[in-house]
Amino acid sequence: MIEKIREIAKNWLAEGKVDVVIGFGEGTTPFSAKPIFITKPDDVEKLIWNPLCRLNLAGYVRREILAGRKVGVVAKGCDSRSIGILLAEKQFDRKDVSIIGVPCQGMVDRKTLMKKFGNVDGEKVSADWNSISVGDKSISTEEVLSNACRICRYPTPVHYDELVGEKIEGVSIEEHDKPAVEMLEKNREDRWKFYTEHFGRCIRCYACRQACPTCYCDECFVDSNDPKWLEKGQHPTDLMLWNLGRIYHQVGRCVECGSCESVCPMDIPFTEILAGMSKRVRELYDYESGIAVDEPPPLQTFKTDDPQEFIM
Amino acid sequence: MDNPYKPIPVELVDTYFETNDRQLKSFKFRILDEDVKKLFDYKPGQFAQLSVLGKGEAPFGIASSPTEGDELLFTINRIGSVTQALHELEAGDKIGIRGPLGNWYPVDKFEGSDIVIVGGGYAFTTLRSLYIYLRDPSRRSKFGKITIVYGAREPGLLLYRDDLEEWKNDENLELVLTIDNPAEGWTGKVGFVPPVLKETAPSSENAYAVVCGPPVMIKFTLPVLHELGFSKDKIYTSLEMRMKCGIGKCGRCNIGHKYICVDGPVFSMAELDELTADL
Amino acid sequence: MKVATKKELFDCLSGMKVFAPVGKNLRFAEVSSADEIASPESIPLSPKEAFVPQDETLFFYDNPEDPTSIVEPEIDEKPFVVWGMHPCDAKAMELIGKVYTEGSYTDGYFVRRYNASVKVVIGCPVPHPGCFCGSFEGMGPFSKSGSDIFLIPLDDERFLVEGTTEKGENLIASLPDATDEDIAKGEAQKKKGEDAIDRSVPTENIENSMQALFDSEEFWEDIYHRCMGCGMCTYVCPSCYCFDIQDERIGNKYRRYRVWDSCQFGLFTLEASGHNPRPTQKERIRQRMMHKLSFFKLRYGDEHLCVGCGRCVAICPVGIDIRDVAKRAEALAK
Ligand SMILES: Cc1cc2nc3c(=O)[nH]c(=O)nc-3n(C[C@H](O)[C@H](O)[C@H](O)COP(=O)(O)OP(=O)(O)OC[C@H]3O[C@@H](n4cnc5c(N)ncnc54)[C@H](O)[C@@H]3O)c2cc1C
Ligand code: SF4
Ligand code: SF4
Ligand code: SF4
Ligand code: SF4
Ligand code: SF4
Ligand code: FES
Repeated sequence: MIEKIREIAKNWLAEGKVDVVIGFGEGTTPFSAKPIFITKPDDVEKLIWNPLCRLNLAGYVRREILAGRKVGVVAKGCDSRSIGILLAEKQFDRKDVSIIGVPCQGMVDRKTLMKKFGNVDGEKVSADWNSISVGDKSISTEEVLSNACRICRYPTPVHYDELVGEKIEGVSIEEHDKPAVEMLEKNREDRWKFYTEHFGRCIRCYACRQACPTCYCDECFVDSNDPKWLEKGQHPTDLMLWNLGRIYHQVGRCVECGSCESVCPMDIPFTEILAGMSKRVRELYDYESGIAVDEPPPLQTFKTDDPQEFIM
Repeated sequence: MDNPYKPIPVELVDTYFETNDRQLKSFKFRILDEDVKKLFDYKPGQFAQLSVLGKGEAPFGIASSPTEGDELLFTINRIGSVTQALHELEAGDKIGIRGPLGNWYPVDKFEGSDIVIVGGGYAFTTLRSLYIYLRDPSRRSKFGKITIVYGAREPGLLLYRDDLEEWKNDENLELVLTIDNPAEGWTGKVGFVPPVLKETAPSSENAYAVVCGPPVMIKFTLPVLHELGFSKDKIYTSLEMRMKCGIGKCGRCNIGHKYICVDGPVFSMAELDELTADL
Repeated sequence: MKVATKKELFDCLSGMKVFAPVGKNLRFAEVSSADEIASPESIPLSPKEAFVPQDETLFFYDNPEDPTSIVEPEIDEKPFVVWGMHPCDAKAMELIGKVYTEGSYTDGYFVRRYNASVKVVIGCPVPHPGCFCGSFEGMGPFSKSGSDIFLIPLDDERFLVEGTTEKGENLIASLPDATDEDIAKGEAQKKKGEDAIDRSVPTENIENSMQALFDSEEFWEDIYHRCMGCGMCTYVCPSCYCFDIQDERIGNKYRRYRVWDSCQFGLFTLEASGHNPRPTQKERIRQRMMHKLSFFKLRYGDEHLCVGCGRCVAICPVGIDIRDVAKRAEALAK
């Protein structure tokens, strides 16, 4: 599969169809794959494809296109859907981006692996879709799949120019909605407890926002100083407002890629909440984010910058 | 406990619009505590943090000269939340101040030399302080000829017009005022600061230059000064950058290995050249 | 040299508040018993917050119109313990101390906390993958600088305990003396850590190499495209000290407070005029790397602002690795 990805990337670069191919390369720490930006055809050898290619690359696609480059990207299902949302929001044109679609078997959070394996020093690390191993210690990849990937409806890219590999079926609606239903079935108090407990840990590093392809406002509501919607400190109310506000601004736009959850240094779980949100949007508006590129998300209210109203 | 973040109370004595577009207002403050007043010992080029409690703090150059007495003068552009709140103050209101902060124009070094002061727009605040300090009768004879080239878009946007009027009679001062476009009743120069400076052609022999203004003006003024023969170590400027603490702790105003708030805001061009910095 | 279990040592410190890594994310927080303290191999968040809380009140005031109503927060000068710092962290607090005490202004908030603290530092027989403290001169996984009590883990239960300051020595005086066997074991643990630590990161002249590369697109291009501009690397860093100052209203009281801030955020340097000297992630990640490996040393002399704790390396989701930056800088400068 990786050979095919490299070949397409090489051709596109050589033909001048794209200026840069965004994909993943080998990281410098155990269990890491890092986003890389390939501009020379010979460098395509640096591209890799494994269960550590976790992050959503669509945000980079937008950034590079706005910087005037013709962009190629190696996209999983979620990346392609985020590109779909960005197209629906008229951030760039379909012709600005060339997509190498790769059906995805599910990704693994590096943090989970670091906890599982502890200090990995000098031993050989390998990761594929069957197993992940360090020296002679090995676990099945399935066992450590990230929460978001377990309930992925669209592992096969929805938008692409070339598709590499066999299509993969996503989970059923029922399967997808399970964690959301569990969350929604909690009574108010328990849900509140869930929020306060988890959001109360937030250190406001904004990694969740920065990792999210659809968090691209020039001025985020949390940064605005006039009006100042919320304070910058560690008061629990502000932590709550920040997190709910961010999530609320993703209604109908979030593709549940799980990037936010995977980067959060405080292990704040977002999957259940985001899945519940997409469930409601699906039921209320018959809309799934990032599928139709000519249909803007049903709630464009994120523009009104009002973190007071929640749909949760 | 050492608490350099705690402002001291000042009272607003007087406030008035400085420019016709009502964007810039001047403020005269008086330090309330007599003992603290004695400690507020400043030199031209320094700045202070003004605190509107509930809104925040922002740094402003001190536009008065210590030779003028106790009142501290600031001239403030209304541009954001703190400056808006400042513009709403009335005489008698009390706010907080921290300072004086930063370094100052190297007036001691200037002794025995000519001085060329180049200013543009509302960046004339600390240049006012500088000239008033230099022209003080106790000090004026220590310096040679002083040239001031000061420009604004239109006459109504020049700061401190009463002072400028008064200075016209000063001895050994060449005061050149310029505006961008011709205006009725205007008797000064017309044109941008850099070409007017070139035309004025102050001698660079045994002379220092001090330049403050918007970045574009500085950019085009520097080559003129070089042409006139000023070397980099003889040109000084005052930098602005976003600041918070003003005392070298919060890390915000970092340029290269310097902090503007404590190592500046006044730098020579030679010093800036040595920095690897984002400006 | 003394020897103690976690519990025995904890008992020596009774009467003082103890901050130690606890909870899901091993954040430094107050604990009431030795059992609560995690014995982590790695602490993802640094103990910085015990000295420089993320959110700290500078003063309160009742009436915004009356600056004479300002009151300083009550200051607790009582000694407290920070348990489980690593040698790199102890060093980092010294570095922050340089900033907070430099020049004519002393930050009393930090200073009184630092002076009141008893720093219980644990040496690292097993450095974690991103660690490279040994690459800095005079530092390593068993460096005692900045500690009051220094621990060497002997096994899952016991530590060799050494008072490294008078304050520390007095506190542990009642503990039993270590046997020769314990001491030998401690030496072995130390050797294990010293042998394992990464010393390959060039740091000696790196400030100059970095200066020379400041304008090199080739050099920075390798990292800035993928940097997301979050604050993680700076928030987990024990030696990053940047903060923001804000005013807030709580009920009918007001306060001015400071919060951690990061040079990785776009607003950090955005000026009121709209001009931003660091408009893109290129300038921002460059600022971090330059500050860590060049600016700080050029300003404060002899030491870098990085202590090689490896936290930023481990946490960055896009693999931006300061070790790699230093190595490339060294290679390119040659
Ligand atoms: C040494 C020095 C001397 C100075 N001297 C003077 C002087 O003599 N006179 C003078 O007028 N000025 C002077 N300045 C500039 C002055 O400090 C700024 O204009 C002032 O800080 C603006 O504060 P503010 O609160 O009004 O603006 P802010 O509200 O902080 O910002 C104004 C603008 O920036 C944007 N902005 C800022 N922060 C944010 C944020 N968090 N989120 C979103 N947008 C934001 C706002 O949208 C707004 O448009 C000086 C600066 C320095 C460093
Ligand atoms: S909110 Fe989280 S899961 Fe949803 S698109 Fe953004 S990063 Fe992905
Ligand atoms: S990534 Fe996590 S800790 Fe950081 S701001 Fe988001 S929720 Fe908070
Ligand atoms: S280096 Fe990594 S952790 Fe730091 S801002 Fe960039 S992406 Fe975030
Ligand atoms: S820069 Fe990174 S390695 Fe260095 S002290 Fe900070 S977190 Fe640790
Ligand atoms: S690296 Fe950035 S956040 Fe850290 S101390 Fe330096 S300027 Fe501040
Ligand atoms: S303003 Fe805080 S360091 Fe200069």
